[in-house]
Amino acid sequence: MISRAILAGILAIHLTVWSAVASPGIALAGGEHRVIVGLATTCANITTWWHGDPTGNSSLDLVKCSGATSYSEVYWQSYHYSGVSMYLEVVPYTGICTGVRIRSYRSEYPYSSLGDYWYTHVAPYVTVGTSWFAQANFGWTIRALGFVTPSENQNCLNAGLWYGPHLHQGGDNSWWTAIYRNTAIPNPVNPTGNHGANWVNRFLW
Amino acid sequence: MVDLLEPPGREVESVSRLHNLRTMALPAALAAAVAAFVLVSLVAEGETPAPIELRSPPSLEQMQRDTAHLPGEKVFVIDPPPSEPAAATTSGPYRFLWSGFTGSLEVHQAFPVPARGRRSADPALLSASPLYLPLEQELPGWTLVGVHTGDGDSNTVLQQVFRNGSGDTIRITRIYRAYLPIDVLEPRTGPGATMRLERMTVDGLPAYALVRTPASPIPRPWTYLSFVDGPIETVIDAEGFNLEQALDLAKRIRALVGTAETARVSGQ
Repeated sequence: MISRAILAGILAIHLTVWSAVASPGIALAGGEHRVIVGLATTCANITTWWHGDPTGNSSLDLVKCSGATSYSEVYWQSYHYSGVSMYLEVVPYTGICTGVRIRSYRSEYPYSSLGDYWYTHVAPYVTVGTSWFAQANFGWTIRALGFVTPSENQNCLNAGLWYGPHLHQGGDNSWWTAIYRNTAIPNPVNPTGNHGANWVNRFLW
Repeated sequence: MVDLLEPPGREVESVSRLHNLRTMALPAALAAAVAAFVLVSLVAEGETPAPIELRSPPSLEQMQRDTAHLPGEKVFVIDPPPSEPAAATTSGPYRFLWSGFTGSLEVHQAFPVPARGRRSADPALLSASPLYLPLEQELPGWTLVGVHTGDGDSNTVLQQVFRNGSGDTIRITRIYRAYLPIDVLEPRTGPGATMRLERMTVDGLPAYALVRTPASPIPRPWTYLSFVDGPIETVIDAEGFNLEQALDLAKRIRALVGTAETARVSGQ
């Protein structure tokens, strides 16, 4: 029994080391989830390249390639790429415009925050405290978040931050978060089958 | 900001090509100028555009149609209908919206509209913002890792971000709100609710807080505390803080505001 346990331990250590060396994209006890454009469409134009606080390059402005963007549904659309699931929780949108802010967490110890993600100029369906797991099933996790507003509130307009219906989507890509941008995202982008290239952000930890 | 629709600078253009471009560009520039004038006029005259309207979420069938182009397995996350009748109640500067509320969110101008500020993440520049407070000394053990203007500018939004050795983050945001009320989405209630809202006061000022409940799968404290003094809302969004710690910090920020105002008056 003892020798089997030792052998199993050695095998586990070996596999751990091998996985880490041979597959650096698969982080043990971590995960990777990729988020695509939230607009309900198969084609979106990027009207403003990476911009916006807190880093000065955190978000994209997006409209539909055809048809009205106003009132377009906005979804959380993430694809599980590797590793474990991720816990997501709607927190207050702290700012002067209208939107949905989502805080992401490790779903396992130490349950630390992975960073904030936002969809701005969106009237929310989801209330604060709404939470869900991004599934670890190599498939999609879909959640309706809100719709693109046809107008913005006056505090946002006064600051000159809105120029017509569009989706401002992105996340906090500060050095301490697990949110990364796709700087090679095509324009227009087709948030369809090729999730390998058409993602907007990935959560990688 | 970089606009992808802007073509890169061209070095050589034929005369006819330039002419065509100018012919096309002139009406476009005029249209943009008219649109900008209309928008600026609207803002300058204080006219309120159509208010934000909240609606009901799409059905599962619509979600399935909207995402039919995505290959592979899909998990649709849908909430059960809210158990309480959805309503909106205004209390001081806040408008509390119950889960499932639908309807228009009218606002009114309560304070002067500030001049346009600057969008920035430069600590030196933002230390001159009227929203700035020197908060470092109030958070021993925490390091200031960023300051920025969020989705506003230096006269409307200022957020300072702190981190500690445990990887927790505290965001302190000061927001100038010329238009009220401030809409607050109430978390769902019931045994499965992962967040709880408490209405309160901070030194007599209207306030509310959000804290985690034992039902949350995240076993770490977190508190979101908002209080409003005139046109300025201060928000403490603190990982690792319980409500008592957040309230203590709020009171110290209040004292700091008093000191800063005294300094500004005596400096005039």
